[in-house]
Amino acid sequence: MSNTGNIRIIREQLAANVATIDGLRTHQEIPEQVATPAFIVLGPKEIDFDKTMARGTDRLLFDCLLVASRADARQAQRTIDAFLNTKGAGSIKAALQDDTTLNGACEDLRVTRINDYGAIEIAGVMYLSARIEVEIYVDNT
Amino acid sequence: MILTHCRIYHGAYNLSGDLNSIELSLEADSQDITTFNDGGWTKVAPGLKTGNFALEGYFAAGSSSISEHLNTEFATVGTPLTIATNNTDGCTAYLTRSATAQVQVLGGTVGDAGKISASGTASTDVVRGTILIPTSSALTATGTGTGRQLGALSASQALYASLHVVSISGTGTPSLTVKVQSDDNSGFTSPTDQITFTAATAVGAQWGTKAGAVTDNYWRVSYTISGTNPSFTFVVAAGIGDA
Amino acid sequence: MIFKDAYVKLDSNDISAYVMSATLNTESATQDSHTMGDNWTEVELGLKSWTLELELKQSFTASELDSILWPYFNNGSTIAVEIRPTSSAVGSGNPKWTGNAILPAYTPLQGSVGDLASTSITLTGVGAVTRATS
Repeated sequence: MSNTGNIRIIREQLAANVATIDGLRTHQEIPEQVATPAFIVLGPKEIDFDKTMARGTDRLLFDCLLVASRADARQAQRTIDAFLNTKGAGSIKAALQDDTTLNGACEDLRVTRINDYGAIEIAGVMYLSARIEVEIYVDNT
Repeated sequence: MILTHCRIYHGAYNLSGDLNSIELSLEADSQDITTFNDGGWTKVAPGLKTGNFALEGYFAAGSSSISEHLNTEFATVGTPLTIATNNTDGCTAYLTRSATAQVQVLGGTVGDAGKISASGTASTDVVRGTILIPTSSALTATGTGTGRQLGALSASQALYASLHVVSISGTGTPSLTVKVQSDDNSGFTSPTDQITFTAATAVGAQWGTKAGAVTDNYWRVSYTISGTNPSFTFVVAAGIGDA
Repeated sequence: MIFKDAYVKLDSNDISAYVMSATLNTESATQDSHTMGDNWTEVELGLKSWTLELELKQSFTASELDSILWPYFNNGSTIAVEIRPTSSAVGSGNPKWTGNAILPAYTPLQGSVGDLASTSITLTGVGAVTRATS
């Protein structure tokens, strides 16, 4: 079954999956300014073309970012931690995998890992963040 | 498809949450039938078929655990085994009955998560089928599953079905009776009971067959639930194979 | 030539888009034919055989790969096989190999959680495999 394989649509749908989480702003692209807490789709950090012949399948590795204000260090950690729960209403993992086809934009996806939990600077402002890696397979047939 | 939602039902157990690796391999014994007329090239024909399974997962002990289950299943023949590619209604599943020949009861190096594994052979046909009732939600009242156009049965075919009841709750002797029905139309205006499983009042598994010929090509599950506040989690898979 | 567009057809099923790797093997049995007086071994070639090994991305969606391969294994059917280096028209630069085969073994499901579902099959030739450039 063919997917769009359209990077822009994949960004939109990743953000749309996460938009179901109350209290989390979503951005399909890196914004000029960040209102927190926020989920940002950074983009494809890796694309493996030709996983099968005849341009059948490509594998994409997307990086996304969870960002919280560091004004209160403890609250920032609690905010981020809640979104990193492995299941439940506020879970990023559960929300992203609620529709693993991204409304037809891909064949399947899996949130593979969270890493780089720590401080990050965006436009001169320090935030607390965690990086979310999403593995996506696209069927081009 | 990324392997994240496979479901493995063995007897009364849903092992999916304990397993992290699955293999179902099928083989037909190749028989050489080369003759002098074959232009110098070999010819082979497939003979008897065999199914093998291998399950690997993480060790857990206690009541109703994988360790308890595989300890019971070791050297046991005939337990229904259903391997589904997903936990959704209508997804592909392979069903058979198992002969569990090897169980590695516990393994690992200090610091590792303890491992457990089991392997064996299919003790009967391996049938490619469809999940007609998934375990995605418990059922509490009488009803029917979604009808699927699995096809008609010729005289040399049979419908095979597996039923795994993995949890029961309620009072007043909760009971579940499952039937596999057929009809010649998707609306099931006049369904025929083809397989009737024994009423289940405890967790367990059953295997059913219906020999062809059957001209109906639509199939579904009908289930009757009784008791006080009854709740059943069960899965039914069915497929057409050789008689 | 970078191997990225191999064409593989089983009967009327073009399964190229599932193929992760393909290897067509041909072999002749060797028969010793040396006799007294020979200082070197001598061989003659006997019966020929062929196999096509495919590593495939598995799909259980209706009408997709698993539904194609299962009946080949379960029914023991003879399969008309064609393979070309690319999907372009057959020619001197893009030969095709054709022959009949059976699927004597099939592993529909294997892997660990998180893996891409895949299956490896070996089609075993029944009779000759023929190379053609038109």
